Amino acid sequence: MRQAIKSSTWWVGIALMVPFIVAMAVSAPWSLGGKLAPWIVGTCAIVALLIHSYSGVRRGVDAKPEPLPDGVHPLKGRALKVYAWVALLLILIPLLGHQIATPLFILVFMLASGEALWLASLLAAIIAGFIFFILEKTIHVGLPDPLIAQWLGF
Amino acid sequence: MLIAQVGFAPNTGFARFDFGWDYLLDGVTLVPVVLGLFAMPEVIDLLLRRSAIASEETAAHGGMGQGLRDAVHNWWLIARCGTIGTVCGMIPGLGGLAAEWFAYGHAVQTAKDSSMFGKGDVRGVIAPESATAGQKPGAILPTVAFGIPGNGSMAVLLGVFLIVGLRPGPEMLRENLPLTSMMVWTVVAGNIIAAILALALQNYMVKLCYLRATIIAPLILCFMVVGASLATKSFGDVLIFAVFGVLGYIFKRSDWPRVPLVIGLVLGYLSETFLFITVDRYGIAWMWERPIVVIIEIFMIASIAYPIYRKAKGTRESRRQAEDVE
Repeated sequence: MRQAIKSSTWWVGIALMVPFIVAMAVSAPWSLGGKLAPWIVGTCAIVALLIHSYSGVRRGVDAKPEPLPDGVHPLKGRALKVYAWVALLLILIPLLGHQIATPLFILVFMLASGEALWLASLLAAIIAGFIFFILEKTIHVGLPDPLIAQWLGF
Repeated sequence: MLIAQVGFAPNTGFARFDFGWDYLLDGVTLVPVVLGLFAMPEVIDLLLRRSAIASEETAAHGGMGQGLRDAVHNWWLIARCGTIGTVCGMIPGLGGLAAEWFAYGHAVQTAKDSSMFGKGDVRGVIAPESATAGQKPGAILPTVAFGIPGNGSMAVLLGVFLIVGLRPGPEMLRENLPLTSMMVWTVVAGNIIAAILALALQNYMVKLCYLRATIIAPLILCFMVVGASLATKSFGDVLIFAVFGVLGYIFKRSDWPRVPLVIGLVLGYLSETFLFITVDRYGIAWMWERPIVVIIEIFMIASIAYPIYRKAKGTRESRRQAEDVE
């Protein structure tokens, strides 16, 4: 029991039951066509997850997660910085659009990571050129408009 | 499979799990899900390690010759997965992605030691690649012989047939046989040209793996986000990419497999469509009244029960050995 409670694998199994329970509860009042699949999938998944959790308590959790690099805690220090950088990109892109956010992120990230200004600028320029000349002008991929442009009424 | 149920229900048009957001009415798109689940955790780990994807010492082993030897050594896996790909290609609507995951699942299940899959076992690459190569010719078959396109690109090809006045069907294998043969050889020639290009460029492409994480990781991350948002050209894709990126990272850190989630998403829509049709036609009795269904059920139960039995047997044996040693 103690080994199961200490294992993140066991807790993820418990947490995974939540979306299935919610989906079954939400779909309960729907017509047969709407709720048939959520109920069948939900029932099977909950039964499987209960078996997994019970067997984890009885026999221990048999999982070998890949270890993090030495000295890195998943919720402290360097890991938090990395998550923050990824989150920054994911916020900047809808806000400013791919054309501005992507080269800006590369430039700022590389400078913050100690890379040379010329290298950071070069890569930012290459990716900006790729998005503008290759994606937009040559193969006519329509990238979504940035939210800031919509808010400013462009 | 629950994720595949987001959006309009296939048979009734009933909107489900959309949380009042129009983007979700069309369902969850596969590309941002796959990129988030598999690529995002790798980039995060790369940034945490602060090292290159591979060191020159590691990559120096093998090279082109090793790749060829791996392919020859795994010829039987290539044959099996190529067949899986061809059969999947022939089934309309199933598509290439399902073939790749089926082949990967098959390779994992049939391997004597599957512990290295996802950690550098070359069979994890050989299996889906063989399926990809096999599914394209497979998709041509129903298009040419019956006029039923196996996937999106075959639907375009069917449209071209009609524009130039060709009628798919038995006459494509009689009067227009040279044209059909030409299509087969085009696939062969395309694969050969792609292989030559890949071999010629591999020494240059592989150098990307030696770049520092602070150079390569932001580039990969940006290309991933651009790729994810090309699925529906909406920022909703970026949000889906972020959500599944977090989920993928949690799964990776807690050793939960990510491949079944993708297979469920790929097959969820199809299985729901046919489940509804079946229940509508036969009621719940389809599960025990139809002989083919019963046979499939036996196979399914066996495929679940056998690994459990094998694992239990292995545990018993190792316990017995430990007792003998004591």
